[in-house]
Amino acid sequence: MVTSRGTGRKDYSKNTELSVMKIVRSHQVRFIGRLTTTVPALSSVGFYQAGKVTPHLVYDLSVVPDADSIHLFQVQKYDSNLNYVSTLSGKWGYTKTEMEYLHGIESLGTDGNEVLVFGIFNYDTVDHDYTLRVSGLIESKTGYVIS
Amino acid sequence: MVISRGTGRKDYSQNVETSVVPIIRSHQQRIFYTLSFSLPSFSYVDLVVPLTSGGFSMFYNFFLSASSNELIELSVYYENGLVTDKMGYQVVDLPFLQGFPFAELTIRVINYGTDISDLYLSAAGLFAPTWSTA
Repeated sequence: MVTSRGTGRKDYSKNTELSVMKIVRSHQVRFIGRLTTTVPALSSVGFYQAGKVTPHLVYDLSVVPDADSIHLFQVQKYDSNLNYVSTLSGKWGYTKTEMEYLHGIESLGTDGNEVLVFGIFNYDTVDHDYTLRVSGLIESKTGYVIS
Repeated sequence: MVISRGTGRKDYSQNVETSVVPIIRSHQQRIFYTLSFSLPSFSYVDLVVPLTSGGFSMFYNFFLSASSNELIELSVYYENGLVTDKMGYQVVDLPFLQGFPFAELTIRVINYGTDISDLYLSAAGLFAPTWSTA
């Protein structure tokens, strides 16, 4: 924090800084979800956080195949009964696919009747192992497990 | 918010945190736009992104990608002309760190390579409705 000198508005910048400390000031904690699975040739697999989902914000997403292969990565929104609602983003990739959302993707969780689904479409003619990584902020300390 | 006790500076931290709960503190909503399309060799398409009326739309992220490794270009236009553009092979990411407000938003996608069977355009931002004075 900058020490005040002279007149003028005080420096309140310290109030807005991000902290790694899980202090009472914030009820949010950072999370990272990681999962590796095989996606068969010319088919797709969708992942979502099963069970009770707390509200969270997703900022960074990435999909990396075990070898260069053409694939499509999509983020979709489903309701709590796993009915499709909308597609939030999609991106083609070859070596890897990354999406960095500056303002995050909001998910209200199952209590808010919505679930984020991460879809990987393998357009290669051979099977590939894909590693999905998701990170962001979650409203509590319950953790984040993709299944 | 932490209840003040005793003396000292008050805790204003709750006013600045980002929340996933759309409570009344924030009047903004997240907006997304996605489109999948094809584009012949050495051609372009102008995509007019539908914006919600009654407020302004601030966009932070544009992602353009192709199903093949071709040279593509993404140009972003607002109501007064070109904002910015960027070229790349197969993938073009165009972030606006502080966001950019659009009253009208048109995206031009140019394919400098061979025919592309699948292009994917994604955009994300915030919509802020105009405050009513009634």
